[in-house]
Amino acid sequence: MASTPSPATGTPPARTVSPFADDADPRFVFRTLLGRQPLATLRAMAQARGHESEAARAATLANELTDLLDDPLGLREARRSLSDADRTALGLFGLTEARSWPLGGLRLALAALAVDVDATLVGLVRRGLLAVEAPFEVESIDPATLAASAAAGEMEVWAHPSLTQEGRLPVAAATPEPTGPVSQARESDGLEPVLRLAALWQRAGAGPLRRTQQGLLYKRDRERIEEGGLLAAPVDDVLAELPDLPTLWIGLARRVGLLVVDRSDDSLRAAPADFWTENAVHLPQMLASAWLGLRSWDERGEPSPDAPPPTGPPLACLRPAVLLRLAALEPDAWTTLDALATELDADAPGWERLGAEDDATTARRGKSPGKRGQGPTREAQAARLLERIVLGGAYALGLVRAGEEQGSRRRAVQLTPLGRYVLAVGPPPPPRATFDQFLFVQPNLEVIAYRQGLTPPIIGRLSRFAWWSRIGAAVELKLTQESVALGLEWGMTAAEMLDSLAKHSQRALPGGVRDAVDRWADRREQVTLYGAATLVEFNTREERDRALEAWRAEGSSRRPFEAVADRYILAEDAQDVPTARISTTAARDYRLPPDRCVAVEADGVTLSLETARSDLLAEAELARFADEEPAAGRPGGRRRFVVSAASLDRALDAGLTSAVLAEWFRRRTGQDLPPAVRLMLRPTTSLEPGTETWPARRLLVLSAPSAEMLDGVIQHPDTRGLLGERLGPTSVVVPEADLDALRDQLRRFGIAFSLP
Amino acid sequence: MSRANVRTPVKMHRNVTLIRTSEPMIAEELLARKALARLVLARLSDTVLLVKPDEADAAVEELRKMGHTPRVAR
Repeated sequence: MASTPSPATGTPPARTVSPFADDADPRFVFRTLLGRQPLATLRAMAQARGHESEAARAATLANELTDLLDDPLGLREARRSLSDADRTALGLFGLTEARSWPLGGLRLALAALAVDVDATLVGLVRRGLLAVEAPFEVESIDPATLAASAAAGEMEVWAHPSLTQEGRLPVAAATPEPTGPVSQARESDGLEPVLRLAALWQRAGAGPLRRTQQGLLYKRDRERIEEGGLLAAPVDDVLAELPDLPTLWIGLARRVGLLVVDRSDDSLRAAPADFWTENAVHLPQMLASAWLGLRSWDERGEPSPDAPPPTGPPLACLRPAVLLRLAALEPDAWTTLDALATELDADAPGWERLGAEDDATTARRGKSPGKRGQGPTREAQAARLLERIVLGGAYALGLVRAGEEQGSRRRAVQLTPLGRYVLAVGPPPPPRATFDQFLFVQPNLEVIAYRQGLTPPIIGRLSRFAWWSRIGAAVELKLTQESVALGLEWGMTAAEMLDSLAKHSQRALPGGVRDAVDRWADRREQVTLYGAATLVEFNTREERDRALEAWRAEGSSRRPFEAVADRYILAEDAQDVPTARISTTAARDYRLPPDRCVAVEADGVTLSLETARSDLLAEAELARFADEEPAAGRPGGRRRFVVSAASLDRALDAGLTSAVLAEWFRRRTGQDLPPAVRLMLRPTTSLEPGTETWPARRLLVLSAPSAEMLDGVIQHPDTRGLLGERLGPTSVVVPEADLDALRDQLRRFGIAFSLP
Repeated sequence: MSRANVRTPVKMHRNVTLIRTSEPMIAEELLARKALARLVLARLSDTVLLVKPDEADAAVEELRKMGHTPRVAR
């Protein structure tokens, strides 16, 4: 059940976060978990499996024990040692296509199947056929005390993948009491989940479903998928209403692979359209397995905000046990939900209170357990949960058919051929009888579909280019510009879309529909967004044109090359660029942080671009606040840009701020803003009279013939006090008031100066 | 060395986010839209706009708001 690691929209699981990645190889996880055991424990496992080893380290022996299960002979020996109860326990992993199960959930499911839980699980763990993942603080796991461990609620159990494909599972539980004759038998077409998932896939295709760090959908995306009620609306053809349907559909879509997690931002994206081609035929079975192991949603629905978090094993673990009990019936036999509930009560007392607040928790919260009488009775709660499992989920998926026991009028159920096939107790179900012409394509671009004509492959094909707008007893689709564009993106042509409609339409397609699809398809070609294009930059236009001609003539690329501006060739995919024909002198990857590629010259306002390290962004950024110098006269062919008051004004008007510019200088030049630029960035003041101005004054400067002479004048006590600030080696300021006194003193040394 | 064997020196710009339009007028229309113009760093040619890195999704969303159904090549 580890294949649904976290809910898409619902409450996150209480379980401690696993250190293993969601898609970690289960063999690796199994081996790692075994390797955490003490060497003595592993030696005991090896002995129990009849494996002789000289391994001196736990990790080595864990490797050997894991590899043994991948070896045909070792696997045969291990299988030979399995009891029916062992096979049931291991088979639950395969049935639910889960790599791991919560320990509590596995215990519950086995108890509900009348298996001796402790003996079975302890036996499997002791032989190293199940590995236990415990929180890190648990140093070692004693198989004998698994259930009693304080951390049992957080433990996860992993099986080696070679052991989980069991086929038909032995069921030790008593067969539920068959009913008498049954009337009004009915079953669903099993298409409801397929249709809802198709609609969800379309919406994820139109834009990714973004998630918060807690794994919840952002409000806007949640509203987007619930828009029009298509995913949240109750299922028409079920006999028990199911809660929180969007979470159910998202959970199923993730488990079958129609929605995939984008590792770059953790959003949920639509699987490629090929999913339908490859999987549509088997989708009902895939959905059934996904539902049997789905943990991110359960039949109780989302808890209210003030409710305590659910405790105990997830209710989801009960689904396979309930269906396996039905599988024990003869193919034509029926049983009642009451009989099922009675059997479950006998083998797993208290099953209906799974995840509910236990008495101890209630007491801690200051409530008396005895005062909880306002809620539903135990029997009512049990009946409701069982109905939701059997008459809700299993019925909607087409795994169960329902009827009414004649006389008692009690609800009777039995597995359908699909249900028996999924549980490996029957042959593949016969294909549904369908008919080809089941569409009404209307001039207003709405398409009405009879459900009887729909199959998962046809649903997949229609989903590529027509929006599901209503799913119920009648199914409606809508052709829109967006849906046609999505169809093109998913690899269909306008002609293929029209052919698909025409093939299944009862009448000829209205001319307006053909026109609209063709027009929208043309319109899509008007704008292309490249998320990761490659631009090949040549030194001259002539070189670019020659290369373009040659590359096009070779015709090796699936996608055409495009000339851009004077010196670039645009390639949609870097793989298309004929690397044998070019010599790459520099390369920039725009997913990486920008390089320092601009140098500030001494004047502080001239910026030169290092062509080898620069990128298109740098040029564009520079052009925002500086003007490029004409090419003629550039030293070394470097491109130079000059920052002026006018260019800065232009940038500030366009929204550039000082802080952003300062950050740009740090990033691109490695320096702070040059003082000259900072000077121009100061807020300008009006030059009206009365405004504060910088002080300025005229100075009288004495220039000596040599620095040595001036040193003497400055040092001598008779002249020292008559001088102002020294401006340079041979220049010094003379205060106007001391001019005559200085002249007199210098005369004494035989020095005269002239004043113009 | 024959001319066919001469390798042309080039500079490679990889993973660039661009919008290409079929007509210059459409590029004008896109640039006139403030929310989209904010995402555009430069106009490389009449029909090719350089978009800020990591803003591809925002650009697609804005194009759709404008009624375009862009082909998205990732």
